Parts: sequence; structure tokens; C-alpha cells
Amino acid sequence: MKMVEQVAKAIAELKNVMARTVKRFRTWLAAQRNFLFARYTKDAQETQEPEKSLVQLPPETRAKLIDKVENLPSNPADQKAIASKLDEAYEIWHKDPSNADNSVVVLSSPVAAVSRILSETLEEWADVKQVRLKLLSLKARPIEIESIVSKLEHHLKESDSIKDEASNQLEIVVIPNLSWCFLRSIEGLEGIEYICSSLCNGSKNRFWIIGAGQVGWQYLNSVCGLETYCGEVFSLPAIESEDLEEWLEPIIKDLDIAFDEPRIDRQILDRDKNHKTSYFEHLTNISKGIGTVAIQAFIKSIRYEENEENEAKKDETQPKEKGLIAQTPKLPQLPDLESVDQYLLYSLLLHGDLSVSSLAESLGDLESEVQARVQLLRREGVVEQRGKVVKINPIYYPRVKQALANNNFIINRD
Amino acid sequence: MNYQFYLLAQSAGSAAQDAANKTAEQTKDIVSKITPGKVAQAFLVMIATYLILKLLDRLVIWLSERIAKGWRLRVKQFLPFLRMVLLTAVTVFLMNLFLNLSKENILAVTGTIAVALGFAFKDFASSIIAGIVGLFESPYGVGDRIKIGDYYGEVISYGLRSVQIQTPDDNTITIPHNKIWTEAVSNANAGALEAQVVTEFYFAHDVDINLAKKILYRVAQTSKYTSLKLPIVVVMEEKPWGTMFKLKAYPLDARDEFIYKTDLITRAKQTFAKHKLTYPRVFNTEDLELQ
Repeated sequence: MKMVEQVAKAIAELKNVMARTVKRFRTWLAAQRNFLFARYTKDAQETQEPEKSLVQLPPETRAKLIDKVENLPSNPADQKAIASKLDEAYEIWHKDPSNADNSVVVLSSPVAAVSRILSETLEEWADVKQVRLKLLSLKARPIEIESIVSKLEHHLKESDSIKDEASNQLEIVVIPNLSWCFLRSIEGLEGIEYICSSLCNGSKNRFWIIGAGQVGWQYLNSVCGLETYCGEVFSLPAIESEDLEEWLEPIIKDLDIAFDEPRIDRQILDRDKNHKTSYFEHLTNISKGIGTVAIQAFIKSIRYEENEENEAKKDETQPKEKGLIAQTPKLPQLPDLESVDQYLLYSLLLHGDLSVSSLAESLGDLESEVQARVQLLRREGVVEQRGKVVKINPIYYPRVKQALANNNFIINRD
Repeated sequence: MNYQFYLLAQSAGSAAQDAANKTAEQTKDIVSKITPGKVAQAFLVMIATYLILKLLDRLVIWLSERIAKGWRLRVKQFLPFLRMVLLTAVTVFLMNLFLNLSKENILAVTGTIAVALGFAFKDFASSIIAGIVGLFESPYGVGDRIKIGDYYGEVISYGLRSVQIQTPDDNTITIPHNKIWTEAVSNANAGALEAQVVTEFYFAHDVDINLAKKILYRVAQTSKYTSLKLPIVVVMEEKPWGTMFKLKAYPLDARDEFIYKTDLITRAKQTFAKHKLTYPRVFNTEDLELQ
């Protein structure tokens, strides 16, 4: 009897090892695919599997889904992580404002709205801490980037009570998105020089909270050594599958979204998990734990389908009931990128979002040339344009990042 | 006396006859029987080798241009080794087909070939040997940007006898490998993706040096082509007619060398004009030529 148990245990262990090996191999294969299968990932002519996607949803359901996603609050896990980091850094500074680091930098992915996450977190945090917040009220990058220094001077002007270092008046200065304070152009870095100088020589009664995109931050470190002026630098953690599930739960419940059977390989790996858990684990995996990417992949995975489970029980003469089904999520293939597109996409990641004229200035190219490339990439779906502002479509971010890292651009692979 | 001469001549004649017979015997030993089948086989092998070489060239170049840039030169520089392996294998096969390759025979054949090539194809042999030495010494590889003599460009092919470079004006220059014995080879990137680009700017002596330097640094730091992983340096040199600034920076891809330089000059000149930086004024062209 004991021997049978031991054999069963050994078999179970072997299964686990095999499952882990398969999982590791799949992860490795996914990471290497840009090199190993470059031909397949780059060929724009390659026909991809036909997708039943969001367009198949009735317009009202589609509008409802998009509306719900747009009104989704920031990821609570991000808010919690920021609040905890701020508590820690603020307490250290509060005890010794003259000597402790007077700033904390919150880094997010370049496709995440860091300003929104920060402002939503700080509202509550400032109430709890009973501190005065001075929010830099820029909503976008100035059209004339040369005016950035005068704008910063105007918005960040120190009041007399703050200037007086003997007074106990403390102030928290918030720069919700550092990307709006610079442009990669000869005169576009003066705003950053001003901020560096204020961090160093400003009043000791000020504590700074700065939000920035990872790619822009890396660039500013290379050219201005910004990190040396700042205190704690904190990157938003990758979202866990449970947190992602919890975050999207209101939408799932409201629209009554069911989850399709996972692919056969996932069924083998996640034998004891239900479809929903398996779906969210896969979604977290492909989105690299980036909330905005996960949301876009979630939307893209939803389709409208006859609910077979219910249909089986019903009379065939009755009209068939349709429901929303979340299929196995996947990221779209990146089209074939020319080197001019790579420079353009890197510039978009560097600045987060920017107008075509600013993009042209940052590339040192003519606006008409840049506009043509933007149109092309927009048609492919890699970039999206809202009004005059252009940015990368979040669902392409992991692949764009990988492609740029492979092509010698300064960008972290992970 | 005459009789002695006769004997000597006769013995020399018989010695020569013996030597000739011996050589004929040795040649018979070395060369195996040549049949029409063997000739046809050799012919087919040579055609196949030629086709495989062409295919390899195309395949490796195609692959290197499609994969990540970081791998481009590594893949390209693998091509000469592949060619060498293939050519060696084919040579061994052909020798095996027509020659009886015992240890002694190999020595005899290689010695004979070496002597024959040494006299008849001295430069050709020298280039081939230089090509093989070059594979290990690596003064240049495919994808490198090199200067040999007056020619500068990107190495596009590494052949058995010569290297082909493509100049900025899109000319293809063929240079025999044996140049590496006598000429200096300047390699700008030596297998790396980046190659330093030096851009010169000239100002009057009274220029605001700090401002000019700051602009030049910013110009490089904000160019889309600049590789920020590598250093950017501005150096100065005084000349009788003004001050020369050299901006040294690396583009992300050495292929962008000239377009990068153009971008740097364009944006720098726009900014100099904005700040009204003064350029050197040359009154006498002869003075300039003297410098």
C-alpha cells in the first residue's frame, strides 16, 4: 500500500516537473520568438488567423464595454503600492527635511497614464497626511516647448512661508507627468534643468513627488543625470493575476462575461484551475503585468457568441440566446517596421504622448514626413491618435518594446 | 679521357632515366585512375559547390538583414567561415577522388602544389593565404566599415581572394586580401553595431565657448540617431583662423553615419544662428590653404 502511494507521489512529482519544464520552454520560446521567428513576426503579408473580435459586438454592447473600461478607476494595487512607498519616503524626509532626500519618483510603463494614477492616489493620501499639495497644473506638453521654463517658474513659484526655512509650513509639490516638462530637442531639456536645480537648491520645506514613464526616465538619466538629483525611485509593480481579476470584476459581472475553454496546452498545465483563473493568468503573462496592456487584450478577447450550455437545455424553436465570451487573450503581431518607424515609435515611448508637430521636432524631421508615417502606423493599429495627440496603442507595447530593445535602443527588456 | 667522359655521360643519363622512372612511378602512385565517371562526379560537385556558395551568401545576408540589429554583424561575419568550411570539404573530396592520399602522398602533393602556386600564382596564393589569416586575425569582417588605402566603405563580401566594400557613393570596390600584409587597415566599428562619427564645427576666436559646447552636447544628446550607451565628447583645437570644435558621438547603427552627421550639422547650425554664434572669417584663401 505504502509503495503504491510512493509511486503515485513520484508520478505526481514527475508530472509537476514536466509541467514546469513545458512552461519554462514556452516562456523561453515566447522571449526568443523575435529572433527565432523574425520572418513570421515581421511579414506583413502573412495572413493571420481570422479573429472574431469586438467589431462583431452589437454597437450598444461595444459602447457599453468601452465606456466601462474608460471609467475604470486606477488599479487599486498600484494605488496601494504608491501610498505605501510615499508613506515611507515622506516619514524619513519629515523627520529631517534638511538632510533627507526630498523627493520620490514613481515610474510607470510609458503606455500607462501615470498622472491619473498619481492624482487619484494622492487625493486620499494628502487627506490622511494632512499636508498641502501643490499640483503642477500642466495637462499636456506646451506647444512651444521653449516656454516650459517660464511655465514651470509660474506654477512652482515658492510662497514666502515656504521660502522661510525656519517656518514649519510644509508643502508637497506634485509633478504628475514629467514627460510634459520636456521634449527631445535642443531647447526641450531646459525644463528638466530647471527641475534639477529646484530639487537641489529649492526650499527645504518642499517634498517632491514626480511621476514619469520608464523610457523617458532612462533617457533623462543618460543626458541630464536626473536620478542623481532625486531620492527614492519606485517602479510600479507588475500586476498579479488575482489583482487583475479583482480589478476587472465589476465589468465582468455587469456585462455577464463568460470565459471560453483555454487552449489545449493550458488545459494540460492548469488542469485544476477553472477557465477564469486560467484566463487571467494567461492575460497577466502576455501583458507582462502592465494594466493598460492587459485591459486592451481583455477587450480584444471578447466576442459575442451563442451560449451553448444554455442552448442545449432550451427548445430549438426559441431564438438562440447570445452572450459575451472572453476567448484566450493574445497580443497582435507587430507589422514589418522600417528603421524610420522604429525611431518614431521610440520617440513616442520616450514622451508617452505628443502632437505630430512635437513628434517631428523630437525626430528632427519634417512634419509632413512624420505625419505620413503616423498615418501608416495608425492604419496598422500600432499607434492611436486622439485629436492631435499621438501615442502607442498599449496592446502593441510589449512587442514594440522588444523590437526596439533588439535594435539597440536604450530600453529595458523586462 | 674521352672514354671517361663517355662513362660519366652514360652514368648520368642512366641516373636521369632512373629518376624519371621513379617520378613516373610516384605520380602513378599518387594519381588514381581517372575515369569518365569520376570526372563527371567532380564536375557535378563543383557546380553544386558553386550553387551552395551563392545560396549561402544570399541566405546569410537575407537572414542578417531581417533579424535584430544586434545580431546583424555576428551573423554576417559567420559567412566567411561557412565558405571556408565548404571549400575545404570540397577540396578534400576532389583530392580524395583523383589522388591516393596516403601520408607520404599528401606531403608530396601539397609540396608540389605549394611550389607551383608559389611561382605561377604568387599574388593569388598570397591573397588566399591572407584571406585565411584574416579570418583569424580579423582586421575586418562583413558589415565592418573600413578604410584601406584611399577607399572607405562597408564590407559587403569576404571572398576567398578579395574583400568587397561599398563606398558611401554606392560604388563597389574589390580589394585583394594581401593588402593586409602591406597596407594599414582602419576599421571604424570592428564588429560592433556603432562606429564613432566625428563632426567638425568652426567658430571665430571670440565665440562663447561654453555656449557652443553646451549646444554641441545637446545636439548629440537629442539626435534620434545617437546611441546614448556610448560617450559623447566635444574637443577643441585652436587654429590661426578660428577655433575648431569636434563633436564625437556614435549613431545607433553605423550605417546611419552620414545621415547622422547631416542631422547633427543641420540642427547645430539652426541653433548657432539663433544664438548668433560667429563663424571664422577668412580674408585670404591662401592663408587657409597654408593651414
